[in-house]
Amino acid sequence: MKVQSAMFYFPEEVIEHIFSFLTHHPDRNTVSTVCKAWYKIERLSRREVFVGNCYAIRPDRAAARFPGLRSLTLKGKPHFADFDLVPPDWGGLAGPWIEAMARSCPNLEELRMKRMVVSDESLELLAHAFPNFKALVLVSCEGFSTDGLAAVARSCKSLRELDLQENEIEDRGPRWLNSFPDMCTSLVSLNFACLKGEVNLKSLERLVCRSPNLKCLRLNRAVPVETLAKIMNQCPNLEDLGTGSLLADQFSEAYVSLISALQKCKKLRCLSGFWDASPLCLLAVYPICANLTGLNLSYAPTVQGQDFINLIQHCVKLLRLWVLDSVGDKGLAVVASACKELQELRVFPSDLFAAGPATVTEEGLVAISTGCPKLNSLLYFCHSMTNSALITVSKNCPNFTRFRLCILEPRKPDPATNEPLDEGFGAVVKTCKNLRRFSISGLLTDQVFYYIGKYAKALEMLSIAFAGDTDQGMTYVLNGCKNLRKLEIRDCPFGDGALLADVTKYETMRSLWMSSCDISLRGCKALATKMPSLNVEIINEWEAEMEENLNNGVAEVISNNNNKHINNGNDERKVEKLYVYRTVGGPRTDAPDFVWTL
Amino acid sequence: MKTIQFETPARQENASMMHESVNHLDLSLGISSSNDACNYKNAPKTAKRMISFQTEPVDASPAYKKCVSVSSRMAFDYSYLFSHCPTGFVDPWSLAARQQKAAAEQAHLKANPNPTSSKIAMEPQQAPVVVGWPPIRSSRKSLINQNLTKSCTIDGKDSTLKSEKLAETKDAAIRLELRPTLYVKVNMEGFSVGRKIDLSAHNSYESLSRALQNMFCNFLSNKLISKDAHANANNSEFILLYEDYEGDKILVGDVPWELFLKSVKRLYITRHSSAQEKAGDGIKDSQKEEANHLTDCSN
Repeated sequence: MKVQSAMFYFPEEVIEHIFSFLTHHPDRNTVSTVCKAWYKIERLSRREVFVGNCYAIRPDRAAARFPGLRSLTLKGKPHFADFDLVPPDWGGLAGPWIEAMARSCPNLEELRMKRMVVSDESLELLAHAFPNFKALVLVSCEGFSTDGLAAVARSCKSLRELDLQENEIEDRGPRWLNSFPDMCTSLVSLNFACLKGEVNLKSLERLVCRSPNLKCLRLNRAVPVETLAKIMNQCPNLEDLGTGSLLADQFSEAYVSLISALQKCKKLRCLSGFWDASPLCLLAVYPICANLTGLNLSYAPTVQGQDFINLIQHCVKLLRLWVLDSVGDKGLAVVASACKELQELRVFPSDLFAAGPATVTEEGLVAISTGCPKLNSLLYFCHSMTNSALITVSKNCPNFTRFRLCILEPRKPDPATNEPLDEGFGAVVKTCKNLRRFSISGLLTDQVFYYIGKYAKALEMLSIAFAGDTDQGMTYVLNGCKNLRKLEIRDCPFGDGALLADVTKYETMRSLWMSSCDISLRGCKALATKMPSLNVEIINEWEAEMEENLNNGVAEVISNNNNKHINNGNDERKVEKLYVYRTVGGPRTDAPDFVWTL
Repeated sequence: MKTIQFETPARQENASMMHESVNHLDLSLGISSSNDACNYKNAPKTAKRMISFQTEPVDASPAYKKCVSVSSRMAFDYSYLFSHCPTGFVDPWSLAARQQKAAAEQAHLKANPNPTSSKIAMEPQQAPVVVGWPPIRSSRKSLINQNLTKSCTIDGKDSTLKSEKLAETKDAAIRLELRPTLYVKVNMEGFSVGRKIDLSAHNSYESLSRALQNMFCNFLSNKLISKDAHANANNSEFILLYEDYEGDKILVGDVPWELFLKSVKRLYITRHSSAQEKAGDGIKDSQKEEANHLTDCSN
């Protein structure tokens, strides 16, 4: 009795204080389900919210539940939208979210969005609605222009971070840089590397001068070496630098000035950019290489061969390296011998068709795995891969959490044995117990999915393309991977049988994407009927077909516009693209014509 | 970008060509494993359209394999690259034979491409038919396409260069490509109206002199200027000068091409006769030498 009454009077402040130690979102989500009291305490004290799928919950509801929200992270379009598999105007609109936050969460300080469509009007609203706004991070977004950036720069008085990564930004002139306040700014991080247009160089220099706290600065290609040198002289405390264009004459004053400026930057840890880098400009970077932890050369096709080797052999503390495959196996071998601390490696393709002598092969990967046992994150594009190489790699590096291998030619077998790559990828999942993200390619049968289902217990995201033989493959994965959150499949022979094998599984996942597979409308309808808590959306180009049928008098015209295409009786039609996700927000209200929610 | 068109030759032609070129079939298709695969000298010239191939042996060239995988079991099409073969002519009708043979070759794929073969310049490829493959973002894809366009400026005939030198010239080509167009005025003596020429579109003095000759042959109706470069070099009474950033007039051809590009601001074509008159006959030899500069200077 005594214990019970003591529990009733447990002060809320204490619980709130305990909750403040829970930073992991899933933990906070869990405690909120314990009881009503905890739910209330948790939601009022919640400062950060992560919404992995912006359609999983309505913006109003999220804003109402967490009025004290300071930081919001949103993700919109499915991952395959990066590769043009999602038609434009699909959705992922940021507007409703920003409006909802403006109404209910005035204390918002940070907004991070990935693959969403943001308009200039939304950015204007953002700039005015949140007096304490500090950080805006946009990754792979689109729909806005430099005018929107100007609005943010002008009106967010305490802006600390403006980070634009890989966005499609309409260029309406370089004046946006002038919009930052004339007095000292609080800018700590500014990244406009993805901007394609010109930049007002004088404004940039002045901005840097009046931003004493600047730690991260990533310029775009329009910024020449002269300006870079001037900027570097202004901020010797820079920790993260993205250069502009590094095209310079060896004997020019700018180049000499850049060298001396860089030498003063003792805190520089991360370098990127390197557009048009001439080998001579690379020399300027040598003095700071020894302290670098991050290096991104993936936009610098001119850095290859001996130039790359000369550069990388100094980078002994490197943790993250992004390069193009033009560095070749030779370059990777040098990385393996020099960068013993390497944790993340990404090798992007520089040439999609010809495997010249300079591109990477499985040898490069094996060399890396031998030399860098701490490697835990890999993205590797190559023209071919062998099972034995993969087996060796997994033996050398059992710590992979992210393993993404893309063999450029779909369905390509092991060139040494002509066999599928099942054993190789199987070895990876067997030895890497912490594997969370996996992307596979090459010739693969159902066997690889058997392995994945059996061994990849920690797997959260799986990307499959041009793989598998029967429905059984997909079923292995759905049954075996208990922690699976995102499954994306393209061009695989999985049909309705696989889709409907375990429908309740999709409620435990964030989303499923299937495109160019063997599923039919009938199967999708069945899924939608069985699982009302899911949004089952299909994207199809049936209109053209529909018009044709109408002309031939084949199909009935049903008055309900939405159902016109769905219910014309032909359920055997193949569904081109299927996107299934769990949601508490009901069917989308902003779905365009080509998206049908079943 | 070269478009590949197939024209079915007449039936009669077929038979005779078949007979003639059965010896050339292997060679011209580059299927034989000898490195001398690009021996097209005897290929029938009656072929209306040419399909050019890489000069590398087929088993070293995945691009080649892709060429002939049109009828393979793969469920999609890869557009294939064709590089410019300097002397290559291949009969269109042999496509079927080629496919058959290459399908057999495919069964015996070697593990690695021949590492000593230098990277041959590729023509810009057409976009792949497979949407969204490989899975890279559009910003990276455009970088790749830019890169490939640059490498195509390298003459296919340079395939004999070592790979390092190729990389150097590639770098040079890249630097040239990256520079915005370099239009300079060209004035001919005695004419108030001048022309403009894009220097970045040329990679040697030879090419520049040819272009200038083409440009200015209309200016003069007398026989001294003709399109025949060789005749021109010997008979020319014109010399080519350039003005640099300091304003000095200098004879074209002394410095390496790249350095010339950096310093040139304007071009002048003047008659050499004035210099000739002043210096007297003794200068005739050196005058001929100088006039030859235009054609001699290269690299």
